Amino acid sequence: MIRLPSLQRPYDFIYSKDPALKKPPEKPALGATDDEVDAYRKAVAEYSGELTACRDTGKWDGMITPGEVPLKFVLGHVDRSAFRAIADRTALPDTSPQHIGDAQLAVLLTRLALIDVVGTDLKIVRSPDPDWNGWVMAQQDAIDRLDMADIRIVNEIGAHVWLRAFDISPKA
Amino acid sequence: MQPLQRQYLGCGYLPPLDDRKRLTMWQPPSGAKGYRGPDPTVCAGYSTTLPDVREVALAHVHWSKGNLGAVLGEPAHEHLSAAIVILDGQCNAMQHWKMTPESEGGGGK
Repeated sequence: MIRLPSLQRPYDFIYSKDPALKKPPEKPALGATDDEVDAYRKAVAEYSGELTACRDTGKWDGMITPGEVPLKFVLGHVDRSAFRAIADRTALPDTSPQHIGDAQLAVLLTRLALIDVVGTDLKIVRSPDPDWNGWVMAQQDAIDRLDMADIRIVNEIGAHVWLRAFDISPKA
Repeated sequence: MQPLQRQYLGCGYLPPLDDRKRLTMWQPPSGAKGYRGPDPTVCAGYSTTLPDVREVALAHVHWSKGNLGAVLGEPAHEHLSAAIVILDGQCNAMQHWKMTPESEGGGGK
């Protein structure tokens, strides 16, 4: 069972390139005709739309290959005061030692949000990190394990957490 | 219904049309006292049935009776609280529109 998207409870996030998902369209070969390239672009847009709808609705039935089980990243909600502090630090100039760059941002948000990874032996231990104001987060070794599997996982989760936190604002 | 028709109606299950001007989906009532927010990007039937939107609608009912904490069993996360504020603001705006006569830009008699 996949936990539905929620604004209060933990929910499941599925990586877009999980091998259990339906394969994305294959790139046309070099020298492909314009029609073939157009068809590919259309197929990519359809695939991407389908993926977005799965994320929005939590209904993954048509996207998961029958008999396969994707990894489920259980995400919680980042404490808003931590998120504000992080957002402010991303706006600092690159020369500031307090600046948080894009790569570090993705790791940090993933660590703050990640509660569990279902379908693997990876155990997520959450504890206060003295290097980050004592914020409770997943430990760095979990991120290292994910990076070894596929470095894009952390970027995708980080981007998701960032956009979700920014999307929900009465001023938006 | 054909996929292209659904795209014209802003179906969230299909890729958005390149030309947004050709969308013919439902829009909130506009006019002088009408909706002033950003244009909807998907069909209202899609967005209003999303799990987190339904969660907010339900939470809003309990929140309006001062009972949200008891129902959740924990303090509401700021994401949920912010979404409730958005929904409540829009509910008030809709009621105001409905109570304002049509001659003054509202939707009332």
